[in-house]
Amino acid sequence: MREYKLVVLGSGGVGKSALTVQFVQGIFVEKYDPTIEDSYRKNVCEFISLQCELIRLLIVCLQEQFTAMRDLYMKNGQGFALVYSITAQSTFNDLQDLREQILRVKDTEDVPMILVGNKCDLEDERVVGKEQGQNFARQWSNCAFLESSAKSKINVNEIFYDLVRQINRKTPVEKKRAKKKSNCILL
Amino acid sequence: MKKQFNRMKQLANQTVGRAEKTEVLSDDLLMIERRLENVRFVSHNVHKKMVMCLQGNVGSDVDKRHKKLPVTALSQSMLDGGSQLGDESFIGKMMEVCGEAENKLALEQSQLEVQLERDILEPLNQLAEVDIPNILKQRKHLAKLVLDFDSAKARYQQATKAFPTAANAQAMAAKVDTLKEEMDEAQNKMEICKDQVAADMYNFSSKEGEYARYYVLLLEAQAEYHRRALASIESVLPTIQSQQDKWTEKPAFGTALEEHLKRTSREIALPIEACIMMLLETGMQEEGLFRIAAGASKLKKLKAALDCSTSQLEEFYSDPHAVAGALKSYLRELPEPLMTYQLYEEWIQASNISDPDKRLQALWVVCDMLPKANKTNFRYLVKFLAKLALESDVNKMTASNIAIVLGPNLLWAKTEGSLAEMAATTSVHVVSIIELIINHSSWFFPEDVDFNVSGMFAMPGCPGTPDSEAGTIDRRRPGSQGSLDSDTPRKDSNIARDPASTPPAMRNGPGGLSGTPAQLNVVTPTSGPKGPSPFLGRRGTKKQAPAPPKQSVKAAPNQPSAPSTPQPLIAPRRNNQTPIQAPSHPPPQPPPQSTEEAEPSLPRTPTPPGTPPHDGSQLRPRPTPRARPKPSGPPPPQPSIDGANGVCVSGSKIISDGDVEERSLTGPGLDLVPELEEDETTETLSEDEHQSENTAL
Repeated sequence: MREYKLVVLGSGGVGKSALTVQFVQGIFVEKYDPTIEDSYRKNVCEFISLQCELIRLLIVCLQEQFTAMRDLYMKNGQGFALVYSITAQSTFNDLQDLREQILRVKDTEDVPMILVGNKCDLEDERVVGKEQGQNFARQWSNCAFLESSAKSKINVNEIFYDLVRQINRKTPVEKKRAKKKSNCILL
Repeated sequence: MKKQFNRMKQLANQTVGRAEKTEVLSDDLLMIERRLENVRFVSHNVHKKMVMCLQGNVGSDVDKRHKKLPVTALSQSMLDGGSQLGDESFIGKMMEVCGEAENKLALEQSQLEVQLERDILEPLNQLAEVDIPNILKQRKHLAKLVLDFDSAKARYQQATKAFPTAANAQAMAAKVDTLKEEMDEAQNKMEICKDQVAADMYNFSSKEGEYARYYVLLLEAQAEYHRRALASIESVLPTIQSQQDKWTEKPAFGTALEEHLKRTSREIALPIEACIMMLLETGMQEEGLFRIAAGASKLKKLKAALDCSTSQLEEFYSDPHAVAGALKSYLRELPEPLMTYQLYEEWIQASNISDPDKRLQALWVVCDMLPKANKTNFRYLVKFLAKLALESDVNKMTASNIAIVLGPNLLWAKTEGSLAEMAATTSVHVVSIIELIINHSSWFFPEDVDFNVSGMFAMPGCPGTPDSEAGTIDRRRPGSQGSLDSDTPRKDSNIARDPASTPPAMRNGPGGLSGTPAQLNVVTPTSGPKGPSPFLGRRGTKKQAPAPPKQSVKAAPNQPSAPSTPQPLIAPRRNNQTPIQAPSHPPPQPPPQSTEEAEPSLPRTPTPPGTPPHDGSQLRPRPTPRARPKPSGPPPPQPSIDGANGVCVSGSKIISDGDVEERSLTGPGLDLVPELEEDETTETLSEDEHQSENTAL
């Protein structure tokens, strides 16, 4: 079994927790509590491959005051979902800095990453166009891009599966095993 | 003619070596002679260069020279600039002062130049162009005379040699005599001239000291000039510097609270008041206020605008998130957190107390230890946050939510950054502290607070407020900010606003309550309908009778002369705590009234802190899917968690591992934050979380 550490990042209120809870528990959370940090686990053997995969999700809030913690997550995370809300331009604009920070912390251009425009059920309130997101993703060395809705269960699983696939591609299984062991020792 | 010929002949003979040359000058004179030429040359050069150093026209008088100086031009343009910008502009004022100083410098310089010219340049010129050349001319003349003498002598000697053998001795003797006479005469002339030259040369030589003195003079004059220039600059410098210091418009962001307050003679930091006043007007019902990030450029603009304390903030009323972001930013950028480094340990310790009542009391004590400025601002902020939390139905920002997003901006450890997990723990503590304080704001701070402390932040939507311009100018003058609202009691009482009765008003812009344009200006929206044209009244008082706001705060509980009769407003549906006459002294003596108010839901609060328990439960009505062990309500409801592990909140909030669905592993997700120390706490807590999570779902 292999464990993936996925980190969900984005501005406050874009729906990081909602996406994650939807993915892990299959429900849409109506609550409005800001997250400082939460982590979830989910076994997803049947979906991704024959192997049983354990996905660990970490949702990290982008409240700027939690900067110190953020670096740590970036260092430890393997795949990143950068989430914005299609109903708020500022959440979209913030992601550029975030990506740069990730690349800086990781010290590589090649980081499994996906750009997610959440709340796509709120078509009426849309301010960030789909093309905008696509363009952005293209600029990010062809990063994956999805529009999702935690509420309407659109593209929720796809986000996380895509990340897992990207990680698999980047670090094939055997190597990963060895790495995982070292992680265990750390624990 | 003949003389000339003789000279030529003699010179030719001498150069070929056939004739001997009389050396009339002694060795020392010869040395002087050689030096003469050198001195002339170098003096000439120095003179030339020195003239180039002068900026004025050589020969003109002080006034003319003064007018021509570049510094004068500079000073003139500064003075012009100053008058162009006017007294309004600080730059203009500084330009004027500076221009005058430069003018003085120019005057000094022109005086220096005139002096230099008189004392140095002219004598030097005299030396190089007149005195020495004269000597040299004499010298040449002497040389001629010497030639004459030599040639005469030669001819005489020839004649005497030829004399004995001469045929007609008579004629010859006569010729010899003439020649001798001639020679004597030439010698005589030569001697005279030689004496003259020698005298001049000795004279020159003896005067060398005098000539050298020019250079001393030069330096002395320059030194004097510089001294005087320095003196004139130094006489201006303190004035201009003090003006600069008095200038209040220094960036508020990133400046220590104490310093900022002192400089602006304010009680509440300008960004805090400005942001809160704006939010009170338009932000209270904004969903996710303080949580949702603002546009970066908007935020930057607002911060810059606040830094120069402009009053033109109208445009930001429509963007409460930017305002909230600016407030957060301000708090975070303080060199020291609002809740201070010094009390950091105390805060954390107090928050670690497991007994809810004791914890509250401990927090109260720490809160009371805050420096006065910090306490005032903290109280102001907390009062506002409590008010914001009252609207959580609409804005979704419950006390706990507010605490999560704002807490880390209020207190942090000095060492933050070195250890990320330290920061993490801190924020967890801070969040719990802030949440408690917000939930019990009226217990912590029983005094009512008037948010409109300085009256600077009038509402938008009053088109072309004549005041707004005057206000801007006013604000620039140091000291004007000290003028504070004196008739605060009127509004104090209105803080306890019943949100339910008038929800749409605030959201839909200013004046929603009353609808009459005059009341658009009202700062505290609730005071609008009651007070008679409060805007004008406030303006008036602000300027005429500055009174320390402290008074108003103290006076508030009495609510003596409130024209707006707050009583009806005071009993809002949702928060009974407002009117409580809570203790203004340490917790050990709790307010008895508050316990009266406490609703039956709280059976077990035996001790002082008359914590109104109901409001907590009201503020956080919804169950959390993955419950954080944070103190969601006021102390009472949570005895079990607190009891279970004394250090209730630490760490766990950060790594709450909602291990759901497959329930595969119970080990919390520590590997993402491997350095965290509180493994065990977290484990146990995560167990708790399971429970709550499952029940919640």
